[in-house]
Amino acid sequence: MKETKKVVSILVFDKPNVLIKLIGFFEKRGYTVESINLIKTGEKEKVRYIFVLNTKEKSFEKHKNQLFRIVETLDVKFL
Amino acid sequence: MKITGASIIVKKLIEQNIEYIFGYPGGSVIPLFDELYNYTDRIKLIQPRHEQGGTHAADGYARSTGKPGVVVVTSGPGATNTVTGIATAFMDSVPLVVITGQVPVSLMGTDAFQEVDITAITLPVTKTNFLVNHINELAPSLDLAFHIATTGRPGPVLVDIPSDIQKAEIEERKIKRGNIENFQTKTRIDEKQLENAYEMIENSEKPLILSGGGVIISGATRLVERFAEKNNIPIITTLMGKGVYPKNEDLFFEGLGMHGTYYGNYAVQNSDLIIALGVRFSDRILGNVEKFAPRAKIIHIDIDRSEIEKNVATILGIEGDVKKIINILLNFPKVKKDFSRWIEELSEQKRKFPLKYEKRGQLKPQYIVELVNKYFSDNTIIVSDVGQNQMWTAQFYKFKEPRTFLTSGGLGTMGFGLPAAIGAKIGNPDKEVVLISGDGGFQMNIQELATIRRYDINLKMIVIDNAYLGMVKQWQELFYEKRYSATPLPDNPDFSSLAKVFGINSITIKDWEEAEKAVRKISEMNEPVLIHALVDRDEKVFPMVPAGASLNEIMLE
Ligand SMILES: Cc1ncc(C[n+]2csc(CCOP(=O)(O)OP(=O)(O)O)c2C)c(N)n1
Ligand SMILES: [Mg+2]
Repeated sequence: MKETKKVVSILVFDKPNVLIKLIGFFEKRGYTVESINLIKTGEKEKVRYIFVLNTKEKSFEKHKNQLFRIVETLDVKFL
Repeated sequence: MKITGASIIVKKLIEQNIEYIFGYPGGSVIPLFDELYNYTDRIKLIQPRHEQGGTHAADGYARSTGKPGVVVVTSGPGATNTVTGIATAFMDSVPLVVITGQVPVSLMGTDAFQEVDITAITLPVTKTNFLVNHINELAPSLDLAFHIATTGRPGPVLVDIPSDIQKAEIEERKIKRGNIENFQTKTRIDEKQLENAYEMIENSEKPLILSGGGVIISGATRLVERFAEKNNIPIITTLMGKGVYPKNEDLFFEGLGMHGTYYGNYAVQNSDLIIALGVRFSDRILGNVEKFAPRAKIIHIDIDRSEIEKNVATILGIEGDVKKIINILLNFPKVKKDFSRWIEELSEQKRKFPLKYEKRGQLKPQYIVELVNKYFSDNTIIVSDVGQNQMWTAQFYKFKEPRTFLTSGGLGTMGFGLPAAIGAKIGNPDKEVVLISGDGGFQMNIQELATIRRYDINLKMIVIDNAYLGMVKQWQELFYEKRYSATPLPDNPDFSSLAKVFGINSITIKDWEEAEKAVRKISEMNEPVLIHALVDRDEKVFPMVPAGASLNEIMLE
């Protein structure tokens, strides 16, 4: 299967280790992380991470839901 | 006025109405234990003999009461000893708050004595965790820890607190509250979805309710029973869902999956609509996922949206508290469709292929479970360990009340039973608590017999001694040509004598008659007691769906 690129924006409650959890989340599910950007939201305690991912996985949608297993996840958007 | 970190912790525990903590001291929690010493009338300390035991005890307390279990341990080895207990609680969605001591902030990162990065270690097995490296953060972190552990889908949260933070002082009026608004779970329920669900039930021929641990956790047991009875829909439960039991027994078809009932699995494989409530579709109930419930559409209701569409495809996923949702569904009129032919079809399977074992020859473990069922009342809390003993308990005990079956489902942690039973009894002094354990697992936290003696915990223990790691041996017998690698336990201690050494009464049984006498006797006793049951070493758990097989490929013997 061909590798495709996915860009996902994840709004999180900013806490140490949240980034590690997100990276772990994608690695466990067969994604490779190409780049990560952190964007300050202006709102206290909230930041947005933009992940560029490579994946052969088709069922990306269902992983969107599963990102909410990380309690700090507030919102997920595909770009 | 200034107040110390240790004092903040204790105040927060009191604010959360914590009555018991399960704690073990050490260098980096001396300040906290010193503060707790001032409050022994408000917060009772239960001290296990091993931090793993303490963590399972807190877990048993939480599972049986619904209140959070609190663990306090020292840094380094104290903290790492809790990891199995935390992972056990995580897999079964049990609310724990684990407070670990840490080396002083100035020493962190230097490989100091008893320093371990416990927040990193527990990252994948906690809902979240906190490293408090400033006194300002202490109170907010504890607020969030209790909030997160107990709301939404519950689970363990760890708070790592360096010893100098416990000693540091802060002006009382400067203490902040945790911002729990950031962690609110969704409460709005989409009524349109419920109308959809209702319509699907109305249009189905063979609906089936699959009730899971989420139903127990949300306190929806009675509502789910009522919903099933009102609409005449058959019901099965997962291992964690035991406790749901409709008064109309004709609707109840027990369990599914690897060691479910024949008819429970038949129901899944033949249903055309599964209404799944608070379940996570673990591989132990799915078998081969491609062949799971081939005829059924699945409606999945769960408070944790990350479970929906995770393991099985659904026609309708509804995020929300199952209690609220069933309550709304109960307001709908009774479904007009008549499902009695479907129920008759299942009942016939039940008559043809009941759960059974041979009631002669050497003493069978299943009989002991049936005796416990016979002599103890329905509100007795039954705790199992892991292995065959667990599956026999699940199959042959009739669980009729929520929170009466405590078992390590997701992690399958041997050694869970004894300490969890201790915690359950502490949380339920007015209920009987019976432990049914294997001989292998019992020896994994056997030191906690000393805890029973210290606090005079009136616990009834039954050790099913088959001189094997029976469940693994069963796989070896069936799938590995009887090559019993590392499973015989020919050198078990005499558990009866062992109990006596700890100051606990005991009875040894080896035949059917002795078994009945002994179980009746312990049901009348008002003190801790252990039954050492020497049972048939070759007994197996059936039915069985081999790992990865379809639920149709069920072995009856
Ligand atoms: C901590 C731990 N180690 C290993 C296992 C693997 N395991 C699962 S069941 C089992 C056998 C349990 O033996 P015993 O406690 O005697 O119970 P029985 O199956 O004989 O009833 C083993 C070793 C486990 N579940 N947990
Ligand atoms: Mg055994």
